[in-house]
Amino acid sequence: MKNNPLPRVLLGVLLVSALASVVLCWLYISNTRQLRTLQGQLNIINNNRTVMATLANDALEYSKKNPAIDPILESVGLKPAKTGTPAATKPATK
Amino acid sequence: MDSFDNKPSSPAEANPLQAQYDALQHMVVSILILVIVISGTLNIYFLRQWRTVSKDLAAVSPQATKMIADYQKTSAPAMNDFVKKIIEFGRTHPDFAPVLTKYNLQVDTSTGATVSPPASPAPTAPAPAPKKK
Repeated sequence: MKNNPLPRVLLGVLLVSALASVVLCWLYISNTRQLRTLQGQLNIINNNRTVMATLANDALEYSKKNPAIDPILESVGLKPAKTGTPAATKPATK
Repeated sequence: MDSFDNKPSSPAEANPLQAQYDALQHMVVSILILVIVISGTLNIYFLRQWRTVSKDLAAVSPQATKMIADYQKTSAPAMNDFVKKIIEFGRTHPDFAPVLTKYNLQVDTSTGATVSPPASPAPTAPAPAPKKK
């Protein structure tokens, strides 16, 4: 029987190709995972900001009925601080 | 008389196993070539996908990392502080309860403990930037 080297060569090529597939697949999955993690974190941040903005608007609406919440809103800068003196109500210019 | 017994015949007739072996070898080679082609196609697909995702990641990563760091450093503490104050306020002002309920910030009146925190926990450390090749 002849000892044909072609199958061995093809097996070697197939082995290299399979290894390349594994490496490329791993790289693709890894990068995709990183991208999705970043996008998920950005979505959480944007969602939190939207919720907080709505909460702040509701608190501002509530402050029209009950000014007792004003110190809280003033402390976070949602409302200008009231000091009781007219000069202090002017916006600070820097 | 003996000349009939020593008459040479064709290789296939002489050794049918050799013919089967050759056919099998051709089939194996054909299958190997087919699998290599399929594997190469898969390689090209993965390579293209990886390049696309790498480009996207390289474009998004710097901005996202900066945004996440800013959020963790400044926005998240301010938000948590505001929510704590709002919840404290809600304990002493029951008419503010609807607003807290709307944002799932219910205050347990018996214990004074908040049922659910308002803001989601700050995101974890950002993923490292992709390696450039």
